[in-house]
Amino acid sequence: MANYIELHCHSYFSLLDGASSPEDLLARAGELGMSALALTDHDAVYGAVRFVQAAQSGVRPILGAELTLQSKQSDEQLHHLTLLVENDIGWRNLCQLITLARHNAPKGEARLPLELLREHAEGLIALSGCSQGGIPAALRRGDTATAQAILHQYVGWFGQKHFFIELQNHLLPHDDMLNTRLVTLAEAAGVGYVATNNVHYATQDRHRLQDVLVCIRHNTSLDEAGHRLRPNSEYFLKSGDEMALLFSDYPQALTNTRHIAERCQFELSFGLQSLPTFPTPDNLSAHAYLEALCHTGLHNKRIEPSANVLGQLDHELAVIERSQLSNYFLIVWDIVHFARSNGILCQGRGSAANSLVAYLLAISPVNPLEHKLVFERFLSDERQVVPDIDIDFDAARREDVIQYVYQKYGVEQAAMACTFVTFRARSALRDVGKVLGLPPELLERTSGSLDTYKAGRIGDAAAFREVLGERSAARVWGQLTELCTQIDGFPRHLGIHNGGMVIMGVPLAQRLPTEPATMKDRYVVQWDKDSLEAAGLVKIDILGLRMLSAISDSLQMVKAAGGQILDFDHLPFDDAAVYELVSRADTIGVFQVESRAQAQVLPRLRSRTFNDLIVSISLIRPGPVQGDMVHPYLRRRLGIEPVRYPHPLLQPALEETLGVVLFQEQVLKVARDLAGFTAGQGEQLRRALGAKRASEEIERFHAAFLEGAQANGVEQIIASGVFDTLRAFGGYSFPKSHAAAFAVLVYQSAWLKRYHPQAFYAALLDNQPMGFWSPAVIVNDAKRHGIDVLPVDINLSGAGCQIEGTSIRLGYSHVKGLGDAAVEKIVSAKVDDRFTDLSDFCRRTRLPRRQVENLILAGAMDVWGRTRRKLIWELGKLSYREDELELNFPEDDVNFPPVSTLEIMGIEYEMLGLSLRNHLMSMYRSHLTSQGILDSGKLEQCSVGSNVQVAGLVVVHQAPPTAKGHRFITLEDEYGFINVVVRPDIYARYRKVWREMPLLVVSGEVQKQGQVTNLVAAAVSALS
Amino acid sequence: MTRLWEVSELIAMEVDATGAPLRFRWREQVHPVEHIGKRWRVDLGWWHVHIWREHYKLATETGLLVIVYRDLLTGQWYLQRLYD
Repeated sequence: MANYIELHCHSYFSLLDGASSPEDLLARAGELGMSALALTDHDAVYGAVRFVQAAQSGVRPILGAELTLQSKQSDEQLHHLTLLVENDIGWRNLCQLITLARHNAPKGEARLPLELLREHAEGLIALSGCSQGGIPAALRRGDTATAQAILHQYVGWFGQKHFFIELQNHLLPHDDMLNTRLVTLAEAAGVGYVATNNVHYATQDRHRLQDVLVCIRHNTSLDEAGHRLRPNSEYFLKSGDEMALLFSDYPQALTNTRHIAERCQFELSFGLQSLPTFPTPDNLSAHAYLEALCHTGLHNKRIEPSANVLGQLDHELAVIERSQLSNYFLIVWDIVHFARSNGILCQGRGSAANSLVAYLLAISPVNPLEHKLVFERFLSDERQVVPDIDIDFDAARREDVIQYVYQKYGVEQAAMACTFVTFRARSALRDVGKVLGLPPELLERTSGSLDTYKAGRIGDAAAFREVLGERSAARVWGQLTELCTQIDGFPRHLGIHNGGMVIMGVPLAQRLPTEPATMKDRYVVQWDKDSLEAAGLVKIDILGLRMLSAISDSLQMVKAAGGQILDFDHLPFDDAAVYELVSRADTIGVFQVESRAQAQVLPRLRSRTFNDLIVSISLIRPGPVQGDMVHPYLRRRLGIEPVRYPHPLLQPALEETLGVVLFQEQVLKVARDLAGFTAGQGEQLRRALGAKRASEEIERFHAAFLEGAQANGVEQIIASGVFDTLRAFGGYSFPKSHAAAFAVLVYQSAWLKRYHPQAFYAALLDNQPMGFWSPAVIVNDAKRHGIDVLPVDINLSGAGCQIEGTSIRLGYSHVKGLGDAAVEKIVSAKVDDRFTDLSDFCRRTRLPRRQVENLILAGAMDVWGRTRRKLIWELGKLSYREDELELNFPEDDVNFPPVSTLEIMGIEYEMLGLSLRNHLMSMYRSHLTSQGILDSGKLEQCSVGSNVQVAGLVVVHQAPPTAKGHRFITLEDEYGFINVVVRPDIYARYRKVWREMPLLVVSGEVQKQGQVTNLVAAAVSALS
Repeated sequence: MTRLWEVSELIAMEVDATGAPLRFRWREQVHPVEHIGKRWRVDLGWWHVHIWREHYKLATETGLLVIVYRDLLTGQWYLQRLYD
């Protein structure tokens, strides 16, 4: 056991300053035999939860922070102070101090007015800080008087036993002398002194990364960083022996680290009691009000209050009340109620759909009783975890919902979870490369051609060697790849919130620091979603889903076109035509089932019922593919192999999925039916199966499973086999409730595509980017369905897409460079009268020329009968600023040569992100046909095994991690799609072509799976 | 007045159990260390010319006041500065 404990330590949550993760620091401390370690990041506790979670191996975690102080006397000088948490009050005070410091400075910075320490000193132990502490800074310039004054101030606030002079020795030239003076000062004032190492990395070799981080932070290169870099590499976690050598004159400095550590006994723990109390009418308890709302829901949803239904309702309400969640449900209900009352589409996702209460409160869109969902997947008495309620809202209106929550609970009591943007391959390469002084264009090219997202894999990227050639052998590139490997996954800065909202009954700052986010009046807590969940803090995820926006827009368009109001709340899921559309894989634009992977399987699955949709969503994912579940299921469905159950007891649970374990809920049911597990135990088993390091736990469940099975009269060998199945598939199982909630949207979007395709496509185009396909592909799909997409017309268009006869007219907002403001100007100017010509348009809208140019190039002004070139020319000569006289330009006869169709298409593509003309491939069709190169239609007719050549535009390029290096490329032509499978060796051989060329000619062998045709590539070249 | 060598001269150094200088040979003469005044480390320029040195300001029994350093990359000792 070491005689030294590090009390001043920065992780990478001291953003762009610390060079090790909290986990690495703890591991290293463990190796050094330290019994405890403090984490003191800059003005933050971002890493506190991870730190506490990782500290299981005998190193006790101590929480704290290094605060940045601002004194009134010297505003320029920002000083540091190290704070350690002793107890609950200390934690609360630390959170408030950090919050105050953060709110007193621009985003990303912190400045605590010194006097505020007075009110918030209790429960904290303060150390005088690194060389940037007020006291050492004064001593270094020989100002003993100021040093003493500051010391006395701190002692006054914290107390003599709660303040220590911090000594550091990094083998800098003046460290010894400074320490002598600090000790003298401490002894004169009767306070203790303690040694720390101001750790910024776990091991010495990481000092290089630390230098790099500092350069990134200051936006400079290593060559130019100068004094910003630390003068040596001594800021690593040192052993007790090393520290003893450095502080041989002051042994007390080391023993005090242990004394301080022993005093810091705070443990992070939270409870649900921090939720606000929801105001109920007539002084009803939360439970009673919830019950009343549920009974209203029964009525609204026309559900027969049978014994079964009421029994389930009572059971759920009782569990909710015992878990102290009645309040939570009311809060969520209230938010959903607000949304629905304001016409904002929303629905819950995830495990909440297992709850009847959630359904009755209109939080979830599916009735769990109708779909045999299991409440205990969501909540049970045994499960001590806070439930997840995630709600998808119409993405365009999500902000309204967030603002509602802030208004209702106040900005002090509501905040969003934070997220960290981390270094990935491209950002790492650019940032680190710049720091190393590598030329920017070279870095751009290299990063642009990377295949991988993980910064750690840059080195193996073939792209690297391709772009750099022989240069890749130079030392600096080796340094680059090594540093990128180290920086992979490091937090770079706070990111945009992702929807998780934390609401408390007390000001948040008392439990957890908050800081300003980028948006005005928006605050985030210093923990992300994972940390919040681990700490047991309840949050509500307010997510934006563009499909909901698309559905909402569709409904409005249908109403505007013909007055029809569609009631999606009561849409029955039994229309055969809808299932037929899905089975044909005519699903571009349809929620969740439009990907190429889905298109491969849907025709074989042949959905006929809502439940089939649930299966589609759950089955076609990387997990089940990897677990080899897809094929057995399909074979049984197609009758190729018989449906079998390992034991008759399992039939009720697995009947719906033909004997295959597909849903998480089934894991619970299997455990219950075969081995007598309670639902709560089943859920614990399910969690363990899906967790990364739970082998011990799984073994315990294994034993219990066999025991329970035996009691049911099931043979051990069968029980063992079933458990093995669970072990294999359990990790990949999908929550049926989540799939069920999503299946509602699958059905609704498919229904819209079937019965109101114009409104549907228009809405899809208006809500891009969304879904799997680009707008260009959607337009082509519309055309194949007989719906023309008409270009932007300066007079006929509206802001967004509109139905025009049997076609869709693109809106102004589809033109590149036209934001909301510009579109608004055009729309309001147009109200008075049509635009007659260019100068009329410009005068009335006064749009910047760039935007007018884009409109011209997008073809919006073709109606006036002038070529686009001519219009651009006129625009150049037009003068229409307010303060200038309007000048008319004389007609002149400038003749422009005709522009090729290809050129026009190219420009249109650039302006709109799509082209409305014939498919690009049609330009090459006659040439291709003469060469015997086939189109997508002809390919379908080829027999298996034949060797053919095809050509098309690359629209999808996928490299699923489960595909073992195989890639899936989808080509599009004027008739449809071509699925190309590329083996790793073929990919490597033609890498540049596959990666960079938009139009390809592929030769290969035809393969079929049921009705789905694939081409296995043998060679590829670019089509020019 | 101090004389400063621009190119540090290689010396042979004998150290104690903790790695601190005991005595060194410079230009045929042995200089036992009487007192270590200051000690510091630098670690700079790892990305191009890496300088990683541990410096000592020493007084020797032979009456010299010097700064020596150990190149931590190679382990070699050098005499950097001699104070007259």
